[in-house]
Amino acid sequence: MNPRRLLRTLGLVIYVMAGAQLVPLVWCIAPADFTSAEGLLIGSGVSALLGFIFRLLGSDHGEFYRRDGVITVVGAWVLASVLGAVPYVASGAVGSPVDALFEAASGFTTTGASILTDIEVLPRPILFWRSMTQWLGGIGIVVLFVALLSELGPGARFLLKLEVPGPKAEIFHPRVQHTAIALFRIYLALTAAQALLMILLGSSLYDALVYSFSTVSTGGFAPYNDSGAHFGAPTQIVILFFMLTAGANFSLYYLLATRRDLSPLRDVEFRAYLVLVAAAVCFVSLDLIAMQGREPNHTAGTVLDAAFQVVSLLTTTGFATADFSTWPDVSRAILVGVMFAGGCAGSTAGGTKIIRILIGWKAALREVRLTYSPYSVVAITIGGKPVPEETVRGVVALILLWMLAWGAGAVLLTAGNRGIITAATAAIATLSNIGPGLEAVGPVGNFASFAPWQKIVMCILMWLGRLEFFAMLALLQLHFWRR
Amino acid sequence: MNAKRYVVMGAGEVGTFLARSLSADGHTVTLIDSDPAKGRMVEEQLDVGFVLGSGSQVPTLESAEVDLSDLFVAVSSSDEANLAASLLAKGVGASRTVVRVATSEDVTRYGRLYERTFQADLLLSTQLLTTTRVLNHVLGYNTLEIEYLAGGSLQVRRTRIEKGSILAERTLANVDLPKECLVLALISGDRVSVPSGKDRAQVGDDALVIGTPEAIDEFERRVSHHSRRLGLVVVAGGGATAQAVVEALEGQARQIKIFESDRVRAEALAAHFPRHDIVHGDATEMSVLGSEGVENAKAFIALTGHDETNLMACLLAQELGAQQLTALVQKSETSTLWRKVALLEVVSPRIAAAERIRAYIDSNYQPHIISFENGAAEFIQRKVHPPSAVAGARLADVEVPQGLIVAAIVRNGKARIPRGDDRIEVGDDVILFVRREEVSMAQLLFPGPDSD
Repeated sequence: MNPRRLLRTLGLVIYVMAGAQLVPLVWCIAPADFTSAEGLLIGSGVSALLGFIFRLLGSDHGEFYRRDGVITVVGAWVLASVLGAVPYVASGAVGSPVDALFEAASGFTTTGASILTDIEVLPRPILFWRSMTQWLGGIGIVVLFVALLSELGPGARFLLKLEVPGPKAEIFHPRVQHTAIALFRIYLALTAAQALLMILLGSSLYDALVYSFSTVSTGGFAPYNDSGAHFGAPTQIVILFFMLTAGANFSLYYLLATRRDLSPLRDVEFRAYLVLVAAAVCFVSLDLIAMQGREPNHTAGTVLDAAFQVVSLLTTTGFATADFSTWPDVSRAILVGVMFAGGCAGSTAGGTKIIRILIGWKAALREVRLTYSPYSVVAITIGGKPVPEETVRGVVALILLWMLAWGAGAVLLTAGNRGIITAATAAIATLSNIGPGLEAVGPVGNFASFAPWQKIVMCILMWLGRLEFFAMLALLQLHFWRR
Repeated sequence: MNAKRYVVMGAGEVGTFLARSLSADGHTVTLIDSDPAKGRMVEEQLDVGFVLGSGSQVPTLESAEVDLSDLFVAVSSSDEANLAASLLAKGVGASRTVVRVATSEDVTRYGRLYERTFQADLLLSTQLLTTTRVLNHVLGYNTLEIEYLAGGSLQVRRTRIEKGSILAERTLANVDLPKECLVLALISGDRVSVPSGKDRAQVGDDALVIGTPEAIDEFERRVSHHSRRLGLVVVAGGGATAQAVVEALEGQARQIKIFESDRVRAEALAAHFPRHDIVHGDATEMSVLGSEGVENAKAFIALTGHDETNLMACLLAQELGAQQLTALVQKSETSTLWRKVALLEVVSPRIAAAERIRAYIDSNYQPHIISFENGAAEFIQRKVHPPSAVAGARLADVEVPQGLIVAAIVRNGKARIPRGDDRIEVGDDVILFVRREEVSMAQLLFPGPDSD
């Protein structure tokens, strides 16, 4: 381990946090309203000071070991959440520090779960910061800044792998820095495209930016209580499209851009993703229409509602245009089901990822086959390419951990007699980085009523889900700290 | 420096060393290897791309994007695969290729043939590079590189002129040089000048010398102030590299003793080197070394295939009182450690190859020491045809400009460095050293196509 190199790297990430907290100040100037400026400035100052101390104590020399990478990534996410919470408390927008930490962790992990009971009373710069945390977390705070700003070389490669979701991060350019830049460009382009379309459809610049930040990162923080329903159908379709886009593997877009043909879209995971979306939309639509009876005038609206909620929950964004908590049981069951899947690997979405479910499914089928044909040698392939055994192992372990964490989280969250559905969906909504669940934590509800310790539990679930367990759990192993 | 793309086949020592240094300079590198374990190692330690597969198969080359690369380097452990990969890489669209082969004979005698056949821009032999480095150390030479002409019977050497060298102290006319060699050019940076008798070299310049191997050895000995003729030289190991070193040392050492632990190989060595002492014994046994008088060795060179044996042998030889220890080390990362343990020079074949390729890249792809930046000067080999104006003439009577030198004449397969009263005859092959301005003059004097 090389703590000094580690501190230096973390210091850089913290500096970027300090800079980022100054950006929302723009909205103090435009409609002059300086009530929240102090909070953001204090937040930025605290980050800058801490970053300075880290840089001072650190050193650029020496090897950057794997353990340093693990600590850097986990440390950066926890620190970002803590520092990102400072503006909420300092501006008085959120009273309790635990609530502020929850809100910030929910932002960076692109969860979108909120403890706010009335969002619209908050000043606009604070709401802008809230969506910015999601945008920063979506692309990956560590990778973005470390890969772009410093010369860690192979170390940065490892960081990227730790932070980009999926069983095996695709580094599609031989140099990790180029990969990070390409990812960031795709991310910027998607954000800009969505904001532009929303402005063309009549949104204000502020709304367009805030919603784009929360959509492309699949975060789900909205600055209005009515979330996605704040807009008419055309804008909802734009948001729907960009949620769907952000839930697919970004390397597809890189290949589309560099190869200039559509062959990358034949990717197995991408097709499974679209099939899953289409099937879920179909069933939910039919279920909703059956419930409503024959009212042909509303069919289009119903299908849009179904599609919006399905995509929003599957991509783990968490916007809502309807209160799906009140939907019939079949629809609710399907929605909870897709919460476990999440988007594709290499996207900004949370969840276990489609590719892991495909690999896990094939691994399970292989075990079935081995019960009656013990000498078979079965390779697990995805799209004709063999999946290395260590990847299969990792996938199976991750799915197991996901289920364990969900179960444990659900049990802990029932404390205080909150009802099993509330607790169980709150656990998966935070673990899969979605946001809303059902009943008390449904789209019109919030997470305010949980006990402070339960909010900390949910923060941990959000971090575990975003970093996909292994890096965080490594820090809990005694062996990790042994020399 | 603008970023370039390189594809390196073979993630062994040479490949990874090259990839690391190129990647550190900001270039984009993709490694090819068919061993998944190498892939994991690469992913872990380097910031380069990795393609799993055989470099001599087109799909692998394509997925490594060889067509976009500036240079394809084939340094896997298989010579055949390297050669085939070079040809295929060119077919796929690589700009340039470098191929490494193990043995030296391929390069000394047939280098150009291989390069032409497999469309390689540069053919390297690790063994040859190793031999050169060993000799530099043992004999105190300053050879940067050796080029072979006329099937290996002639050498062109590029030698760095050090402080204390006679060439830097006297004018060329006052230096007593061996007969069968000739100073063709003095190279200072990227300036190439053809020297006259009045010229004197500067310290740090390079001299380009052509001649027979023995004459050039003699030249190096006279020129370098700390070069020496050796008494007893002991070589541990009798493999291919050791044989190449022994061959090059003949005439430089009064006595050569070779330790070889394999009985059959020792007998073969005895047959091959009747004038040298072959000892069948383990060079890591003190008693064996002691009884063979290693304490008198003026140079001890450990060239077995095992790093540990080489180090052990050197330590024992040092203990006995041998001077000038040199050890061959395959695992390059341990070199610094070795130097700490004993007063020895470490020669790593892989590092030598990787550095040679780096030099090729850094010289803006000048494949050979005889190819200069911007084509300032070049070697031309011509057959003398009847219409040539100089056929039958005494060399001294032929008026040639200063930038054109008849460097060698090959007659009936025998190469020699011509003197003023030598005649050029029809049917001879002449090797010309020509500055760019005089290429048309060379064409005029020796009409006809280039020959090999």
